[in-house]
Amino acid sequence: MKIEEQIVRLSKDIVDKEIISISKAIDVEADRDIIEKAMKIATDFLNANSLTEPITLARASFYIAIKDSQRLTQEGIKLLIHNNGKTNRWWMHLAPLVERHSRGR
Amino acid sequence: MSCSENANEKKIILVTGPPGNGRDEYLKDPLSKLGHEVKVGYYHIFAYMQKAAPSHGVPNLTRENVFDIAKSTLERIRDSAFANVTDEIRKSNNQIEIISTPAVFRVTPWGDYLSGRVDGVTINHIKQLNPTNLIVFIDDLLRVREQMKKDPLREGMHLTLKDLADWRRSAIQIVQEYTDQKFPTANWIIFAKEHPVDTFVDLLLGKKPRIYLSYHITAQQDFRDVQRFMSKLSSSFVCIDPYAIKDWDIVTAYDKALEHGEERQISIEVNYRNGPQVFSDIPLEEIENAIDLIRTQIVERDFVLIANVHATVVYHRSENPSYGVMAEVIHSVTTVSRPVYVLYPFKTRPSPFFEHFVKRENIIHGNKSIENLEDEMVERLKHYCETWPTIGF
Repeated sequence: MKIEEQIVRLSKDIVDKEIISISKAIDVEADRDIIEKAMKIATDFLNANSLTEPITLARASFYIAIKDSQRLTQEGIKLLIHNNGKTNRWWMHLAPLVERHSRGR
Repeated sequence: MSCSENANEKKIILVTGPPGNGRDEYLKDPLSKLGHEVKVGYYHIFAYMQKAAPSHGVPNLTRENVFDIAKSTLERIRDSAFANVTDEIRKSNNQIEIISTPAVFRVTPWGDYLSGRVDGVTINHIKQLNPTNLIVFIDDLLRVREQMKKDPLREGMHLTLKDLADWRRSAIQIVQEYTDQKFPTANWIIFAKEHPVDTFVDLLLGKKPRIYLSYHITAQQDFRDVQRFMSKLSSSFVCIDPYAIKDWDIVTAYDKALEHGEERQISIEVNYRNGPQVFSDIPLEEIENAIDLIRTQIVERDFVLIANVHATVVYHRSENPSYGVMAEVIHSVTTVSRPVYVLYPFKTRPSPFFEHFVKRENIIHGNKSIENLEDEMVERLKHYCETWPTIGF
């Protein structure tokens, strides 16, 4: 297996775990549509950009998946920034790019 | 070529930062240059506070007496100033509105000001202004320290490098707290005073794509080639230079002093655009107290800058690797997914580890003259910039 493929596979696992973890924190764990949408957005982006850092990508993808549902409050944004006590604001810079990619530019 | 989706919409730009960094003095030239291109409004919050003060029982508000006033009165005057500025902006038909104010003050703790901190701007004021862009304007710590020593109003405060680094961090935190709440509609960037005025003008106009220039800084003395390349890039791009903040020179001088031992005070010579400046008799202990903060801020700031540009361009002036350059490339690619271009002026290819992160077609290398390679890179960037994934944001 090529190194890029190995990286994508490992990253995908981390992305999925992070998306599940965020969905619990934001209390949308039961909403499979949002979770699956976030995972698909992340996977598509990862396939085209294999080196993307998975936690950042997971948070950006989750944001895109949930933002139109009116279920993301200001508190939810805070949880996205600080999920699991690991502060990460970079997803805010990645999100527009991931969204553009998911819409096929 | 335009990199902004809202290039024709009114821009409200809050320029803030720690005081004593030369913000208002620096803004004079860009304002005059901008005035030739667009209709621009300028609002200096303190001037508006001076206008509002008499109606709050303070007939003559000055820099000298501002912290003699009761804190609650001062806050009311400040609130009035922001309300008046917001109102004027709403009524004006300027294309660009620039509001300038310090983010946070450190004052001698006494009476009403026991915390020693006074906010120049609060989250609520920023919400009221509803800026499209926020710029945290900073200068390097040594120059600010010198400026503070000369300021008669800050005599006796004994502001150390650590105080100034803390102060800078507080200013950035206020802006960051606001942008966290206003995501995704507010853009912010840290801007260093040492950048040429034209770079600031281009940044405000938002028409040219922004690039971060990554290059070897550690153990380098001569940056004339970097300046030349930057000047070529600047005709088509807003070129953000990480070494416009000279805090690196503190780190280098401190490390050298540790190597040599014995010294209790050191002098640091810094080469600015307008010539060298020597900062004398800096106690090593003062640097030691600030060094962790300084080192952390160098990395954080450069990473934030990369997140706020459209692409990273590496000017790889040495065959040897650089920790900084490598970290910036990895951050660009893996964390914020920005395109990276590399000018590697050697016959051989860069390390395969480097090539792992940068697409082969984005690397220019070879044995042509460095100036020809630079021209080739500029042309390549001009050709491909329309395809950069964040163009339009």
